[in-house]
Amino acid sequence: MDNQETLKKFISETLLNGRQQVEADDDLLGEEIIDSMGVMRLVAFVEETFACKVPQSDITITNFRTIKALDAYLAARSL
Amino acid sequence: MMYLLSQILDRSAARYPDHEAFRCEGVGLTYAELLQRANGLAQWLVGSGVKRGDRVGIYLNKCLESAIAVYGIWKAGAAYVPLDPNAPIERTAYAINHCGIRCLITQKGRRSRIPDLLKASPKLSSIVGLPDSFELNKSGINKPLSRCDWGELPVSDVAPDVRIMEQDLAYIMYTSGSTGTPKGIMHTHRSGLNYARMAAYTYGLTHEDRLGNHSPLHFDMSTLDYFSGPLVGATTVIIPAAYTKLPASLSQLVQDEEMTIWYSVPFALIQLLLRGVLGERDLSQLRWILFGGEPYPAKYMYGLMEKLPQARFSNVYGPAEINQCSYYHVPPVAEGESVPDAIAPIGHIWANAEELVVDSADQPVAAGEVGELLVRTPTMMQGYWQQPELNKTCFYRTTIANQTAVFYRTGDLVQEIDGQYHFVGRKDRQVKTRGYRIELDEVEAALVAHTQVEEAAAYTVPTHEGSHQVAAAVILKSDDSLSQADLLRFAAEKLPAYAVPQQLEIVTSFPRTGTGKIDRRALQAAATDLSSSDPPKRNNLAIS
Repeated sequence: MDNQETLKKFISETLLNGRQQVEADDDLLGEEIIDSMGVMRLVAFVEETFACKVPQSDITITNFRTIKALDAYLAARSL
Repeated sequence: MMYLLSQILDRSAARYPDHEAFRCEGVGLTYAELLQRANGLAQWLVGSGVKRGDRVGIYLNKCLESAIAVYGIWKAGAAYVPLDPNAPIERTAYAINHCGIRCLITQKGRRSRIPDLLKASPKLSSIVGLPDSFELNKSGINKPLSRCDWGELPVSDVAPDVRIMEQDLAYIMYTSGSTGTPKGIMHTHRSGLNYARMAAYTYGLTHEDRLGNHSPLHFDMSTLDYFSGPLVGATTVIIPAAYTKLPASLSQLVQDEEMTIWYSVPFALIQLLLRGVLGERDLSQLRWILFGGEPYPAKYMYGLMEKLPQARFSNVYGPAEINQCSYYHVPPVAEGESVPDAIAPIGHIWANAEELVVDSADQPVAAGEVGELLVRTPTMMQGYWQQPELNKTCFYRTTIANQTAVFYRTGDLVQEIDGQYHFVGRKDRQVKTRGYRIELDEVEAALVAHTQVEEAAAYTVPTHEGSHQVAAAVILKSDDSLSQADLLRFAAEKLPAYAVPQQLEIVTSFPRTGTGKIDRRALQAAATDLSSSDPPKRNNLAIS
């Protein structure tokens, strides 16, 4: 499973408890997908799954707005 | 003389026409522009049948249009009803039907939900923010609908000719109700304007201030940003929801927008302190940090005070029913003194309000004893919309100086120590989570509404960051296959997200007290802190 699929699966199944299927371009932070507790859980998941430390200063709208953005952030880190 | 909330805009547009009234995502609206657009919206509303005293729903994400909506609705002589844009359809439709909303104001971000709302709200007949190109027929909606998109609204120097008085209704805010359905708090132009003035006076707001609007419109804290800011000609910066979830981006916005006044629940400030990378930001322009809605743990409050030495911190107290009635300006810690570990008191009652602290028989308690706080204030609500029984019990009537004096029963237990009131607890089962009021009875009612649930008990679990999360245990009617996830999905269709239990257990029996009642304290004591690791890990949650 590629990174985007892994993130999609975690967000849809775990954070959203199966209520909604998210796509790579969906605005995760808009109004109803992820709340502030959800962001913390997503960061914890990313750190565990991709074995990396995400500093607070990187948890921004640019990096977390969509699954695509988060994927790009992770890719840039591993360069 | 100013006696209506809508006159706030007239006066500031005359004094500061080119000053920005509201900003959102880098786009601003001056007072002159806001006035013209509010007048234009009011013209359209009146033209489509909105009359004095009508209730108009605002169904918007956080955006500039909310400011046009609030002032436009007032200029049409109606009251605004802010609807939580993320609440389940069933809950939103309940408010729409309960207070008879016929006209709804929305925009692009919420359009996809309109067909379902229309189906659930048969009397809804006009919508602002819905273009003709948005097809409703496909969703099986064929009723005639008066509609108009934002770009098609008129812009006008003149408001419609509608006569309104200060006792007219200005807004209704729906909040959690213990009977299982939300209740609508009714405020008039008089109570709203009194609040706007008292808050602007207490914090010395001026037209040079820039208020950070953290609270959504359906949350009563937004009234400072929407009423008091414009009253003095200040600029209110509406913070989009995405920023409120990402402390590092939020602190950047506070810096870039040069915010001077901050007002939010402690939860947001705790997030800023812990995750807002404040060491990399210059927030020296912030002069007031106002917080309220729930207690602010001392270690986090003083921690933030240390990071923002130039800002004054003030505890804002008052249920939505009375806006605000007391304040406590937190004194800075003098050099060499140790940091206090006690929660800040709720402080002094405002000069134009008066209070009683009473026991369960409504008799005043002795000085220093714990009792329920009753408040009489010109910022008090008129009552709850169409709740005659509740309106009889929520007020306390007595005679003062030969006149009937009406006090609101806050349900908050307080204690006066050294001239300051301290919050001690609640008389009922209302709890707060991230500032949101939740009646645990309503959570239980939502769970019991499932046909397979026999009994439910909701309780709270404290988090290590000073707030609470909702948890619940249920007994099923038979050992059926209802899963926790299915029951949570069911509850999420009835309750706002913040009230859906974070932890749900299916049990075969409850601990009981001697009288056979569910022993919720025992359930609470057995529960674990959901956020005991930082950040919370998946395996802490009992949700499957």
